[in-house]
Amino acid sequence: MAIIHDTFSAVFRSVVNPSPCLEKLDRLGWVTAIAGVNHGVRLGIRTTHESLLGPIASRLPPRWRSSSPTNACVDRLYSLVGGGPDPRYPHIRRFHLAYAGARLLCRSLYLDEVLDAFESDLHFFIAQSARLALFVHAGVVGWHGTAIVIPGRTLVGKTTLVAALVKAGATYYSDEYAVFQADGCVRPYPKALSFRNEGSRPTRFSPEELGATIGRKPLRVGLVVVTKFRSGACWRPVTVSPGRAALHLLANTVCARTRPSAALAMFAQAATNARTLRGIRGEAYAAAASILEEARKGHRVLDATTNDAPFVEGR
Amino acid sequence: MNILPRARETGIVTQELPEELLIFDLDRHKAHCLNRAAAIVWRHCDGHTTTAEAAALLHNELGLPSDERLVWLALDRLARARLLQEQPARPSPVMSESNESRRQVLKQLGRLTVLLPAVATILAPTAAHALSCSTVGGSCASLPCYVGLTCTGPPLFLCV
Repeated sequence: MAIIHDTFSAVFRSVVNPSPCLEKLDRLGWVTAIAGVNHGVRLGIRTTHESLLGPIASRLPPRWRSSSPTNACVDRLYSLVGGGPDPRYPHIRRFHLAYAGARLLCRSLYLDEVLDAFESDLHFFIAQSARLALFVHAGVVGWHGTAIVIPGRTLVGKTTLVAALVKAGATYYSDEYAVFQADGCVRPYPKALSFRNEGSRPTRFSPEELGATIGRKPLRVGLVVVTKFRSGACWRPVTVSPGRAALHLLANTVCARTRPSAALAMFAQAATNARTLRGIRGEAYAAAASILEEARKGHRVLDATTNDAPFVEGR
Repeated sequence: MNILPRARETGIVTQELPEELLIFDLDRHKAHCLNRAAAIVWRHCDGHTTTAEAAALLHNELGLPSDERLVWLALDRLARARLLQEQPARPSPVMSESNESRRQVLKQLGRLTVLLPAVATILAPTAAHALSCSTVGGSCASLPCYVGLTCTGPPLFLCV
């Protein structure tokens, strides 16, 4: 826990673990600070340049509730140092820096890289620290009043499938986190969609750019889709049991090791009322049409692969 | 008379489902999903119930043949998942049969294989492993790099 003193100097003091590194950081010329709460996690962000506030605001998590940064008590304080050309020495470019507490997150000449590091750490910290919800690494869309949850690790094609589902008429909830409530329902976490390729930096699109309707209400889970992309594959899913579905969700849960009881209870409730499909998919648009069709159906099919090991994607 | 071993009672969290049982092993960070047959055997692992009684339970509740080999199959799987306090002490004739065997039991039971005792297991991820990992040029200050990439470390923390 930390406290931000005074809006303009935004001096940060670590209450729990004061360290010389933090004191050094505190001495930098902080110009402005913002504070807010997200999923019960209190966050503070200070910066050396007022012009950074705009780019920072675009990276804040969904449902960010601003609060006054003056003497704010925060669980984590981010410090962003602006770089770029030095007015006194035009041939010198300074690094942009991002810190989480006293830890250096990123140092780069490119602001986008630093903001990417800041954003991913921010989401990660919220996902780890949220007490009233469980974050599962999954894409989520809404369809006819229920949620379609697509758990999976990086590069299995979650975002592409979510985008295809949204273009086919589904409501956008998230491309990265399914936020489960205690009652097993999923809340929206509509961050910008981040398309990743193995060999390049992620490309970001706001949901509005894709023409997406953003979901507002928590939805109960209607369908869980466990899949990954393989070029040329045909989408022929099998239905898996609720217990296996809960394992798939748990395998992608941020706090699986620290809050197993809560996770099992939430997923048991969610999976019992949902169907779960598992299979390899090819092109997202073909799979999306089939998934939406499956989501309409309510019947269960006996899993023919009960004795198989669960399908957990490696990285 | 063969007695079922005792099931673990400490260091686990259980969650009932209509047809299955979820168990989280707090010591090993593993989650197990027991199907109905495995769950029935596990619940009766009390140090008193005999394998014959357990086989009769499987027969009564699931319609499986009243065959002790099914109980041993369940015990094998439960022991492998470390959900029992001690290893099941198998009498030697059954042991040799069982060794030849899981596949043979499956063959003999034919289409009932779906009902056979099954335990699925996953290793619960650490917080960082449950999240996206960074790709080329991405920051690895808080997230791991994608497989095959390495983190440059301080001060840049980039995946290359």
